[in-house]
Amino acid sequence: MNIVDDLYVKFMLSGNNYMNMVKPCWKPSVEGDVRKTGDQSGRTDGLLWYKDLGSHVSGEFSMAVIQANNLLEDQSQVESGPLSSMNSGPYGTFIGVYDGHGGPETSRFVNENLFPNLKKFASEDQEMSASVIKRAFLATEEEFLSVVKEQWRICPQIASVGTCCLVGVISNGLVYVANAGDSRVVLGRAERGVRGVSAIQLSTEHNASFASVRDELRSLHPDDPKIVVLKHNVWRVKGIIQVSRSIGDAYLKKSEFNREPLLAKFRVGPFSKQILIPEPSIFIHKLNPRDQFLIFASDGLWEHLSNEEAVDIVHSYPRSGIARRLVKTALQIAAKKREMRYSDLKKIDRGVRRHFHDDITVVVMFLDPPLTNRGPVRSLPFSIKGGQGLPRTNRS
Amino acid sequence: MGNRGFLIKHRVSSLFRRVYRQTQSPAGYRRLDRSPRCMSIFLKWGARLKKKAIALCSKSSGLPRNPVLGKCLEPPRAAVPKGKMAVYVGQKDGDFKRVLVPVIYINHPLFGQLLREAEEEYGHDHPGGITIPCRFSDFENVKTRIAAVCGFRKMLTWKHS
Repeated sequence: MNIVDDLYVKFMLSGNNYMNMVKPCWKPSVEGDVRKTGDQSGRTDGLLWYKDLGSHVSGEFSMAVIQANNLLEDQSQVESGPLSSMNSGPYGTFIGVYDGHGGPETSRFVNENLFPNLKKFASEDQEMSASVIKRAFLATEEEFLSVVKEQWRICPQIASVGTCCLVGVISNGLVYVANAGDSRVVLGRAERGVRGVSAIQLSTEHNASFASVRDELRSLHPDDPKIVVLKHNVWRVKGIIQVSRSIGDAYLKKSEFNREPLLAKFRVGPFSKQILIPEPSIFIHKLNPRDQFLIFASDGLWEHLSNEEAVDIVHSYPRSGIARRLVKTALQIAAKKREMRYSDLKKIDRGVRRHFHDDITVVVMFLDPPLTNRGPVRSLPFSIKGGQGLPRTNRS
Repeated sequence: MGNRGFLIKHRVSSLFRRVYRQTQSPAGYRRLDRSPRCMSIFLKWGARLKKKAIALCSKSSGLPRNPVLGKCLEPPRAAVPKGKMAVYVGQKDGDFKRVLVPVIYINHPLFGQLLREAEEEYGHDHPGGITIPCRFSDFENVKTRIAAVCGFRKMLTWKHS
């Protein structure tokens, strides 16, 4: 009773605080109708972040992120509006999914710097092109390696942090897909005469589990018999890492970062040619009126769902919250694999969660035909970063 | 779903039609075996209803049945009870024991140590249930220690309220 009295007195004395506590109750509820209120920054629910529905230049999008690592290593962004620093330059939507490994530093760096670099090169060329995207990747890599060089003395572990990098640019009726690593983008296309939507994968993956990737590595390093090694039934580059292309991972790019005081498990001996490369595979797709949506996701989703299953789900359920539904379906399958219930999986803390599933990022972009034939309406520029508000510091 | 369900309406109406027709029999005589036959039809119908209901329930029990993927997300083996998960304990080349562990134990630091060992041995992306490479007695030991801590906490919260 004493506590209750105390609280009562406190409320009476500080009317301001009381108002602050009550105010949220008066705000209109935005649950389930994000479109009207324009909830810009998304919402969080435990380790889940989501933006159920938003608008981009050529349609709507849905986004969701689930955290498994102690620090979220997946980063993502959607940028809609001008794709260069000039008003007359290319216009459209940029999507980035960055699946970090070894820590969150590189993926966070790329999330901040890749898009500005892309805008810079697009301004120089006055257009969007594969070359602009590739130069943006390489410039971001150079910038990060110079950060590693600066911090190497204080924090040598920065040399072992890297990120996969998947970028999509929708502009002028084209989709540019640039990928370095093992994230994936799948197109859902309505089929003529048949109900349902077919799945077309637009990205090329660089994971040593593919024979083509191992062959590429062996041909690039003919004098190294241990360039790919089978370990724990998984193919790994130098027995360490599964992806063959990435931004960061300085210890496999430059020999100067592959020595003490870096941890012994990352040291591979001197090398002259970089082992991992930052160049993305780029694919340009001309949009067809039957193209309905694109699903961008980190490999955390694709280890549980096939392209067809993901496309079927997006096709059969309402748009709002579709990314969250894909994440939930993946988690239900993850729970089943670990012989537990989905409701119980949600009780597992971050960090420990990594034993059950990886960080998962999903961005679904709906490709709506423009209302007029004049091309996309020049709406206000829009920018959102995935996972805002999820825990960003180490557990104490 | 269509082929597994059935229309109760049809069953009920045909049953009533049968009963009604027999009571309104124009021949004016009563079948001697009427009531037992009627009962047996009713009982048979009841039994069939029960069987279908059980089949339906066992298929759809455990919420996550995904209509798109069309497959049950619950494991087909003995279902894991709520709040628990299965882990496999054992050392290489030996046989593994399947143990049900309360999910809240997994977050405990002592269990975290076991999980790190599992990660070193099998990696994160090990297919199937979590496999812990240690002696069964060591595992039981850790489990008892965590259980003791959890039990103690429960007692504390009891005293508070």
